[in-house]
Amino acid sequence: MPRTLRRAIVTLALIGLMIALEFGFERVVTDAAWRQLALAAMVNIIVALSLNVINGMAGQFSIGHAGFVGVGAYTGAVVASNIHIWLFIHHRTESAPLFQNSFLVMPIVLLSAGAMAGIFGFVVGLPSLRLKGDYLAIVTLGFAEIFRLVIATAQTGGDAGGGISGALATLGGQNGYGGPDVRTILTTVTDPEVTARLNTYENGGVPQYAGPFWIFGAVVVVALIAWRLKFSGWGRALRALREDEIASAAVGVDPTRYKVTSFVIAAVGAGVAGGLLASMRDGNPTIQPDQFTFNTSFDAITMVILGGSGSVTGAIFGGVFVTFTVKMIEQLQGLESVQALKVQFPSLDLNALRMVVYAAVLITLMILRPEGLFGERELFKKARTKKSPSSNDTPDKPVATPVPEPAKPEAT
Amino acid sequence: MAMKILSALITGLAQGSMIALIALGYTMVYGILKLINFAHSEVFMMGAYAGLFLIGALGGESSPLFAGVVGTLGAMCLAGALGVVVERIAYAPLRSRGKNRANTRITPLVTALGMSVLLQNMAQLLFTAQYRGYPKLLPIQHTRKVIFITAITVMIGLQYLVHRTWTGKAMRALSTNVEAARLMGIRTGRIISLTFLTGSTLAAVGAVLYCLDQSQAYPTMGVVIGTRAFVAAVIGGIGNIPGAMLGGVLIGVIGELTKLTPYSGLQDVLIFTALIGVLLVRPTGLLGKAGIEKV
Repeated sequence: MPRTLRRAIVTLALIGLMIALEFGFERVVTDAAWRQLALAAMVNIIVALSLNVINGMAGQFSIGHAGFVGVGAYTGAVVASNIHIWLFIHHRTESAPLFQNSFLVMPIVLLSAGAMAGIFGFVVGLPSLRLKGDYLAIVTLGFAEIFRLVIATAQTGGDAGGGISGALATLGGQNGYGGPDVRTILTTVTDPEVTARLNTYENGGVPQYAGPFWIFGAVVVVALIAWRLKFSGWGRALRALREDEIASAAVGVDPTRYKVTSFVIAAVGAGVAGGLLASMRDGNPTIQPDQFTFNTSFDAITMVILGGSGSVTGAIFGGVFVTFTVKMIEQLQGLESVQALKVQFPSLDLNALRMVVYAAVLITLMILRPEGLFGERELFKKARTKKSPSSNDTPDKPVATPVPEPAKPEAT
Repeated sequence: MAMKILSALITGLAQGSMIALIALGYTMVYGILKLINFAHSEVFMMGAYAGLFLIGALGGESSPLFAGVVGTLGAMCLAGALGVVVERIAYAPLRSRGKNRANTRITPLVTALGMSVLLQNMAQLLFTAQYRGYPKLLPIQHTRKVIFITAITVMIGLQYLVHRTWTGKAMRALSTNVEAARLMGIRTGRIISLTFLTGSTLAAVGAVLYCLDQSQAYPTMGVVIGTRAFVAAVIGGIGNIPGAMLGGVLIGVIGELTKLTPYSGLQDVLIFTALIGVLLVRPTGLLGKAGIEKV
């Protein structure tokens, strides 16, 4: 089969699978908690893959990834809810988001979220990556923390005033952002028809357009891009830069350009993850600043380091693993025996305990095996070099009656 | 208005000299190891808790002078010990391993960050997340003077240590070239430990002073102050001890002056913008000298 044809078929099959997931996911995974866990793991995989570009491939150390996820999430939430209201007024759609409308909303949401995070990434990355030394670490840490504090401490309510503080106030402060206030829109419209229509609008928070189709689809696309980036000439240049900056600069790899580009790519990825997070159907139609604390950044670092810095499959593994442990802790905290234990030891904070364990694991890992669990290897590297596709990867075929294959080139 | 600005300047000086005490720990370690010691802000936080408990145990408000002085000294000892332990656990094994393993650039940063997270959450487990009030040792109008005088005294002491003693000479030798210093017979491991000890002790002084002023201790207190202190170190020129003092005072004054404007919540944004500006215009900091890079 020609290569292009095969690729086209694979692409079509993947799109078909995504659409099937959009409608069949509730039947495949019947438990709502597991469904949310799977989707959260997918978003975290995007976070890990994007952080892997700067921390793993480029060897720089960004510790404020949650900030870029947050920028993407707020941008995505604002864009999605405004388009949603516009659709509601002018196209007479329902208050609930529809799948066919998501093809209009989600591309704009993801593009704007990625672009906004990319702009912030450029502004933060350019001054700090020009220099030798680890300025990026502290600058990203400061950026993420300030981004969160600015939104969380914004004055909300009527006395916010105009200008910057007024714009910040619309983001909802500590309570989070759940779509624009319909009452303030009502004060600006004059058309009585629009007013009547708006009065029937039920504000359900940020419209949740990102179903399984968009989330799984985004993971596949981002993973493919990350894979191609790693094994491209650009990825090799980045690795050379990581091993020896002076030597690679001497053979024509511009350190600043490559580092800033990879940082912007990482920020865009984080922004896309944030855009998905904002519109995800996770039973939480608002975006709060507390979702983007330093712990989120540290979790992202754990995902990348644990799997192995620079490894795409390692980042995917890390993303899934960390999500599962986080959710397990949440489940554990609901248990009655744990609740009883908490009454006895009021200082017992399972999440703090988890962070202690993670940090200890990371330190031990860095001392004993600094390349992470997989190192820079990929899990599926060997499969790429095999020429003939193996026939035993389809278990649905009747195994009991082995069909004699006409040609077995590898057996002879 | 002029009185307000004057008063803000004085408060800023006091705040800044306290930030400078913490910035010194960052800058000394960076000068020698070229490592951002993320755990330093947590040593600061632990110093605050040590001071809180010791001052409380020694009588607190009933005997302010004795409890304050002895409690601060005790907190300095504990924080110094913690700093040395952190160095021994997290950084020393990496140094002895050599530089031919994978990801040498990022590894010490990960352990430093891991140490910071470990200590912060440990504090959360041990002391719970609640805010703890500090005993009121001083009337509020004297606090600023005490902070300022203590900070200046400690800094003069540090200048003496670094420039007039053998240990200080060894520290300066290490920050120029670790290998050459080792060849000259300096026990580098011991000097590095001493650097961590000094920096952590200063952080404990800063922590007690900070709590006297702000009167609260909580597990995440290190994050904001630590970031401010690091920015102060960078603005002054990282690795440069007078630079850290200047940077700290600048940060303190900027912070207090923003409180006069309606944008008081944006204090950290302004400090952060100042950091980016310094990195763009003068990456070596105000007092730092550009080093010549040799291959």
